[in-house]
Amino acid sequence: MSQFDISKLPQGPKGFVHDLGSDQRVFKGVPWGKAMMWIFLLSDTFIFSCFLISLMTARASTVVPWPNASEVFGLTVFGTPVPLLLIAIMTFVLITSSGTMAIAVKFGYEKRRKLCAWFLVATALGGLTFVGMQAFEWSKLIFHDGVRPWSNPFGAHQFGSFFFMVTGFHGTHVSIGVIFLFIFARKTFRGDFDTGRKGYFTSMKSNYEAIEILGLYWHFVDLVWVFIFAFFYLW
Amino acid sequence: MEQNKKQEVHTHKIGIYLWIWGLLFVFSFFSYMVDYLDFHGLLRWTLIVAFMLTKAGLCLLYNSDDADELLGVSPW
Repeated sequence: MSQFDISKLPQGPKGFVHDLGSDQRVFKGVPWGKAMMWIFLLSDTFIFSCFLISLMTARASTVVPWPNASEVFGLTVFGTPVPLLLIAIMTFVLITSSGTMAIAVKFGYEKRRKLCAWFLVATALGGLTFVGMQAFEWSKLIFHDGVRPWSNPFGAHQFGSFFFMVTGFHGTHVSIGVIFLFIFARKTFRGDFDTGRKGYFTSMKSNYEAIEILGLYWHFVDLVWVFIFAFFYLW
Repeated sequence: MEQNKKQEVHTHKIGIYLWIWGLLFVFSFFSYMVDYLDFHGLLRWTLIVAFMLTKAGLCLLYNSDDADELLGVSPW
C-alpha cells in the first residue's frame, strides 16, 4: 500500500475530486466498512424515496378519499380518544434509542468497553420495543379492523398496500438493526474490539469503528422514520 | 489501517447527545401537535415539512464532528 499523509491531502469536496482525479483509490483514510455503509445507505435512500414518492402520487391521484390516519391509528385511553398515540410513543422510543446509540459510539472510541456495550443493549431494547409496538399496530389493523393490502374499511384501497409495504420495509430494517445490535453488544462485552479477535463471519479483526458504522445504519433508520411519520401518518 | 490508528479520535462530551435528543423530542412533539390541534391545508403541510426537515437535520447531527459548533451550544 502506498504511504500518504492524510492531513496533507485536500479536505472536503475538493479532496473528493482530488481522490477521483488522482486515478487512485477514493475516500482515502476512510475505513472500507464505513464507505460501504454510506453507499448502502445511499441505495436504501433511493428505495425509501421510491416508496414515499409513489405513496404521495397515489394519495394525490386516487378518486376515493384517503383514510384519516389520525383516526385509524388513534387509541382510546380511559374512554378518551387520543389521535396517533401509539405512533407518537413509537417515535419517542426510536429517537431515544438513536441517542443511546450515539452515546455507545462515544464510549467505544473512549475504550470504555462495558459502558459502550450496555448502551448498545439499551439501543437494542429500544428497537425491540419499537418492533413490538409495530407488531401490535399491525395485528390491530389486520385482525380488528380488517385492513388488507387490497382493501380496507376506511377508504382508498391503496392505503393498505402502502401501509404494509412502507412500515413493513422500515420495520424489517429495525429488526435487522436489533439483531446486529445484540451481536455487537456481545462482541463488545467479550472485548473483541480491544483484543482484535477475528469475527465469525468475516474472519477479520475489527475495532470500535465498527460501532460507529452500526451507528450510521441506526441513525438512518431513525431518519427514515421521520419521513414516514410526516408523509404517511401526519399528511 | 496504519494511518487510522495514528489519528487522534475526537469524541464529544455526552451533553451534546442529550441536546440533540432533547431537540428531537421537542420537534417530534411539535409534529404531533400539528395533528392534535387539527391544523389544515397549507398551514398543516408547511409545518409538517418544516418539522420533518428540522428533525432530519438533527438525526444527521448525531454523526457530525462539529455538532456543538453547528448547534451553537457548549455542552457540559
